[in-house]
Amino acid sequence: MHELGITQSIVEIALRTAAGQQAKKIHSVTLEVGSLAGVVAEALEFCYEACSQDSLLEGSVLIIEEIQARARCRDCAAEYPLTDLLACCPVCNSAASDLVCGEEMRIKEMEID
Amino acid sequence: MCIDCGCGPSGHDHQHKETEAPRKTISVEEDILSKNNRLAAGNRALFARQGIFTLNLVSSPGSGKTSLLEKTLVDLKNEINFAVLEGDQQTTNDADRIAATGTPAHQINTGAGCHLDAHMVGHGLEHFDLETIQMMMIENVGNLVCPASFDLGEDFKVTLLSVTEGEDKPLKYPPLFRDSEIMLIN
Repeated sequence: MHELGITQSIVEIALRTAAGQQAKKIHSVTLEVGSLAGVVAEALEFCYEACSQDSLLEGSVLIIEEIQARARCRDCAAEYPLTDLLACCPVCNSAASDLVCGEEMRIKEMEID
Repeated sequence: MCIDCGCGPSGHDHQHKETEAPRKTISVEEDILSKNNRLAAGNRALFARQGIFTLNLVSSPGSGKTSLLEKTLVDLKNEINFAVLEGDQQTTNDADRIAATGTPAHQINTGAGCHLDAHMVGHGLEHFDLETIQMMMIENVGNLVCPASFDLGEDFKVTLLSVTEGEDKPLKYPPLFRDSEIMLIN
């Protein structure tokens, strides 16, 4: 359940940002989460509800946007979506690749009053 | 019809509160793990300053991390000054086994936690005389999922796979295997 620690970081960043904006209320927090980030959206939502109680975040909505992982082949430089972490290049079938994106875990934006 | 509340066409006979400010969207663009990553960078800088090479050992529980460490420490103790940070939810069993080899060891108990993070490691390092250490082995909590997300400041992540736990573990738990620079089969 490392989603709890991650949620605590989300709450910390959101409240700090809101304080900097002198926000009276936070309506929503939007995350960008890579498909390989290793977090479960349902677990994040569950922890978020618990962690946001008695704060400006109480009652706000957590919006999770998934970023599809992409890899670049080291042999032929083709770029392809990575649905399976151990997938081979669809062009040349090489197993050697570098991740282009997919491990992101960041707060994109917030909706505040 | 009132566009704020959608009341009927028969006329607007109520006031909206003055305090109803419009919502605004602000861009944040902050990495959720930025705090851990910042602390990991601090650990990495400390290791570099002291000339300490650091490995983060990850695997399932029971795949042989502690046994591998015991054997390595005994075989190489005349050549390299080691220290070991042990991570487990409970007990000091592993740190006790390491200490029995004559190597400085400190146990971190994570309680309910499923992984070590950079903050725990930073405080764990306070228990060693870093001047005398050449190589730091960090044995993470036995778990093939969560340790993948948390940089500790190590030079390399080493994944251990014991064949008895099932040869298809890399297929079932790919992020950790993909993240590791070294994989050992036990």
